[in-house]
Amino acid sequence: MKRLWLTLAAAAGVLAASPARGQEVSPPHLEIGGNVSGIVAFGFDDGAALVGGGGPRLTLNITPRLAIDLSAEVIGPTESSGTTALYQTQLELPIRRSPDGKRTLSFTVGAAGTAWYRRAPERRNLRLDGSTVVYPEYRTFQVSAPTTLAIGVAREEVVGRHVSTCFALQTYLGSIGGIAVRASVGVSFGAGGYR
Amino acid sequence: MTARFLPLMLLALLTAACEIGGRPPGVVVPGPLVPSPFPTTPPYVWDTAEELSIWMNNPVARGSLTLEGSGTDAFIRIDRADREWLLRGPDLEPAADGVRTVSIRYRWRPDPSLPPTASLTARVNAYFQMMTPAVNQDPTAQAQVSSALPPHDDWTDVALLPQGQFKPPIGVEYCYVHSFGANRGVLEIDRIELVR
Repeated sequence: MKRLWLTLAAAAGVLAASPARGQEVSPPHLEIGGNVSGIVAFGFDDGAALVGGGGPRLTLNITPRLAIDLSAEVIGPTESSGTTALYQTQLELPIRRSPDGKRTLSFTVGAAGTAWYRRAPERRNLRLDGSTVVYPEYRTFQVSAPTTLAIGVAREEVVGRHVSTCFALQTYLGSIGGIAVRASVGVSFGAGGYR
Repeated sequence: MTARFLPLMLLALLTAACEIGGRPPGVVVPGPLVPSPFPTTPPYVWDTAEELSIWMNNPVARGSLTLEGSGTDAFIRIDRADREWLLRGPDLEPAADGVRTVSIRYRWRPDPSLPPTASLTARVNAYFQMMTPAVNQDPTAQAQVSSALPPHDDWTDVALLPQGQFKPPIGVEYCYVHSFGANRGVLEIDRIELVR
């Protein structure tokens, strides 16, 4: 048990170590992390709806001026009986960067869609004539086309040699709630570190 | 090269949607069988005491059912029409083709002590186990006909009206007549016929 704590403390120390001072930080090609978000959708007849979500995020830094961000989040509460997820792919285009390169403000544009998973148990309906209708257990997974436009800004800050945080604010236009605003915070771990 | 394919990849992504798995159709586990001991004359008409007894003396039938009279004067008496009852017809071999509905000859006498505002009709449903699905989307659905019987002291024939999406005529493997109960009173059934 003590060994586990020591290992975790050592890992946290390595991840939280600051990049070298006086050196401009550039992100690694691949960042893996997670987000938590809140979405307010205004496209409903009975008023605005608020859902929360959380899930993994993957960022591919193609060039210093372009990154592709992929994320998927389980969202809820929803009226659906299964598990609903939001997925999003977007381009990140830096518009402002601090002199040391640790903080970056980016313009984001992309597309979002939903996915839905349901596992229904076997169901039996006893009919009046003594016969029984058996509906077998089944699982279904549906993915909608990413027809919602996502536009916003994201602020990323490198807080350790391997760790960065991200705060993003986006507007959704399309099938997901009509017009919606999404705010998210996340943590990413850079493969190879921020140098 | 990448710039050339980027719009195509984006277009493919925007139109992508898929579904894996789905709801499998239901399966019917048959209930108790009700053999037909003899063919009726005319076919698909149950009028005599022996014929009507098939509908009430089987593992599926329930309710306060008694058979009264003999021969073609026999009828099924339901003393507690305010409770659920069910009459299960015999298995038809071969199945009856071209059936449009079921007709019953009945007397319905609500209890005289019922308050004036009480409903005096008795809702009766009949269900058909069919050779082909009653509804395309649900292969397990049974066709239903139903009517609210008004009170009658004399024998009255009524053909129950089709309900739901099924379109007569249909092929019927068996039929059962059912009520969840009406107000207090006595319901008597003298004759049951599959109308073709």
